[in-house]
Amino acid sequence: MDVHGDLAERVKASGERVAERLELLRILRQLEGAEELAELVEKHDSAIEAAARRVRDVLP
Amino acid sequence: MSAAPFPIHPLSLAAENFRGLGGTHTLDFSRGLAVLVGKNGAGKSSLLVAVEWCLFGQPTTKKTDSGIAERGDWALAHYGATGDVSVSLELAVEGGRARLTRRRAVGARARDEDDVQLELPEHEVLSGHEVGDWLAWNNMPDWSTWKRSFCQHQEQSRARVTDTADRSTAIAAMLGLEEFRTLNDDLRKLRVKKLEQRAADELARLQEERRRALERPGLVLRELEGRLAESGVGAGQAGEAELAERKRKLLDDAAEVAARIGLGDALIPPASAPADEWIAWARAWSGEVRRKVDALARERVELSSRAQMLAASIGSLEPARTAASAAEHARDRLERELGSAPELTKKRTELEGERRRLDAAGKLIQDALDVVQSAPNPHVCPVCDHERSDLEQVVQGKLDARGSDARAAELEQLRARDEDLRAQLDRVESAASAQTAARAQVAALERGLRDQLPERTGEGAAVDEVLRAWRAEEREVSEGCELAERHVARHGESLQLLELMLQLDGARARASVPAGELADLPEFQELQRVIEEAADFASDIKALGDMARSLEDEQAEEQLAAVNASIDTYFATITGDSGRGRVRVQSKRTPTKVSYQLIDEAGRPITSHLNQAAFNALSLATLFASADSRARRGLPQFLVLDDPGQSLDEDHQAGLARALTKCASFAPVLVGTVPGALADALSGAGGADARTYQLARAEDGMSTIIREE
Repeated sequence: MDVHGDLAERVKASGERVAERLELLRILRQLEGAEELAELVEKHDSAIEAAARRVRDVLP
Repeated sequence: MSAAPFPIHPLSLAAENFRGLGGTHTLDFSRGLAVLVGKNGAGKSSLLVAVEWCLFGQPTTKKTDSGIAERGDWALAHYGATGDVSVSLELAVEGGRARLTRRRAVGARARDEDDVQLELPEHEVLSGHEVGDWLAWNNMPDWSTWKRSFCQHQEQSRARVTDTADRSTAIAAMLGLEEFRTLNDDLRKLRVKKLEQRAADELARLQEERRRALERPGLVLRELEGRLAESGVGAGQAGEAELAERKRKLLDDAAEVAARIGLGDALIPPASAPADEWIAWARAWSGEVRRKVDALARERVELSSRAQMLAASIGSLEPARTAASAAEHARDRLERELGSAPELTKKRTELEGERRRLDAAGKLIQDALDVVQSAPNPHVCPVCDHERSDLEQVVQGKLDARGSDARAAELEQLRARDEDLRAQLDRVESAASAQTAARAQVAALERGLRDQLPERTGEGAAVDEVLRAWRAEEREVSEGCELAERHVARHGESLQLLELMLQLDGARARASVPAGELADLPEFQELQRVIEEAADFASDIKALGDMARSLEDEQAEEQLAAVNASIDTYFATITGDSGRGRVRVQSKRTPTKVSYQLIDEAGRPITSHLNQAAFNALSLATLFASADSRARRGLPQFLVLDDPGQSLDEDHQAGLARALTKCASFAPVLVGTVPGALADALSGAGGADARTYQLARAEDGMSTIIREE
């Protein structure tokens, strides 16, 4: 499940409506989103490292 | 999906072999308030903790997990227990009753799991992790929440109002904002800032590497010029013409050596060959030459060996021939002097005949004498019957005439002559053998010599000519090898220099071309895209955190009045102070979190000037307000208090009893206390409708319930 993608969309769409934002946060909690987000942090971190390595490989 | 609306609450407890409690003990919570009264060591705490152990298991029995000092060396079962430890909580759940049972076998090891079972209405039974999942799903507290909002232990009471994190979490729970708070904590733990740091580090590193890459051609150029200068080639010299001249010389040298050592010039590229082609050849050339030199060296060794053998053969043939000639002369001289071997043999045969005749004559006369002596008439010849009176004497005389001494002397003479002849024969035969051996040696040497020589080589001077030719060839090969070795050394140096010149040429070309921008690289563009994605992600997480904090802040404002009133009311109930507004909650938002402070009417932190009793009263008031808040939100609630009247005087204890009675109206309350004002107030004297259990330690040292009211 793309927790990050879902959340990003819903955060943008939720605006100032407190009820919707509350529901959004509840969903995040129920999905154990924090664990999945922690994996996403690592994934982004590794992606940056790998992309930088590819640049280094082609530097003269 | 929403939480179960039914607030689960306990109806009764049954504990068996738990801690210092012998046998099975049951507690009924149906009146809302259950009071355990007993002196120190009577087992009150054990029964209170039994509730916690049933719900949470091991975390409640370890000092490190529970944070409660006296549980450091806890024994779950009483000493001498023969049965399993077992605690059951009967719960009111939606649709009926359920029974949660936790068992632990006697002698179970630390790593062994408890046996946990939950019997639900409709005969559904859950076990193991299913039980924890079901309880969490139905909003039952975890151990951390329990410690904060369900129970009163000595260690916990101070932290609830003094520790910022504990206090803020407890108040956030009261405000119904646990969810946002936990979410904010989780988001903070994600450490998305490390993504920004990673991106910054990688970009800085790439810029540094690019800077070095830009500097590299210049550095390489200077290094190459320096190395060429060390080899005697100035920067101005190292041009195309110099390179061509050195290359031509390299090829000429190689061609000369190739011709000299028989490699031929087929391997050598033309002067017009491209640089990469002739450089590849030049790098391999030394190896080719070395292989040829190795082969020539083997050839030289063979030539040397053959020449040495031929010289040795020539040198040994003449003495052998001289020796053969001498042997022949010696034999001739001996034969002239002594006779030939056949002649000497013949003489020995004649002597042997003579010896045999002599032996036969003596034997015949002896035989005649034997016949005469054995005849019947010694005077008549038994052969011819001739009669003669002295016949025996005559025969004896004949025998004596050829007497044994004379015959022996004659035989000795013959033997001596034969010995002489045999010695002469040996000398003649030995001389003949020596001559034969000498001839054979000469023949063998001549054969060996012929075998070493090329076919149709004549004798004498021709053989010497062959030897001279071989030695000349050996010298030539040896010189060729030395020349090739010198060439290989020179070739290596020349090649190194030429390669440096070529590298210098390339480095000059590279240094003259401006390097491309890092941003032009597709790989760098991809890195930027990945970093932007990560930044978007970090921004979303930050937005979520901001949202969680904003919501907590907004909700807190809405709920604060009710919470303030609740804490203040309970505080006033316990302390008997009817003044309002003595305790208030103040929220404080920072960029990363929202914290809560308890302040007095003057806005000062209230914990800074409270006495011990007021401290305990504030902690209890906070706990009750928290329970009140949960109950009002329809969440399961239950209060377990271990000796909450400590440090409180009789008035305060009476106030505490009033507060507990109020709590019992919305949640079951289990209180353990020593006999005294609080016990009296709770057990009916103060008007509370409580079920009271009197506990005491029996003679066998086990705690037991001695009376139930």
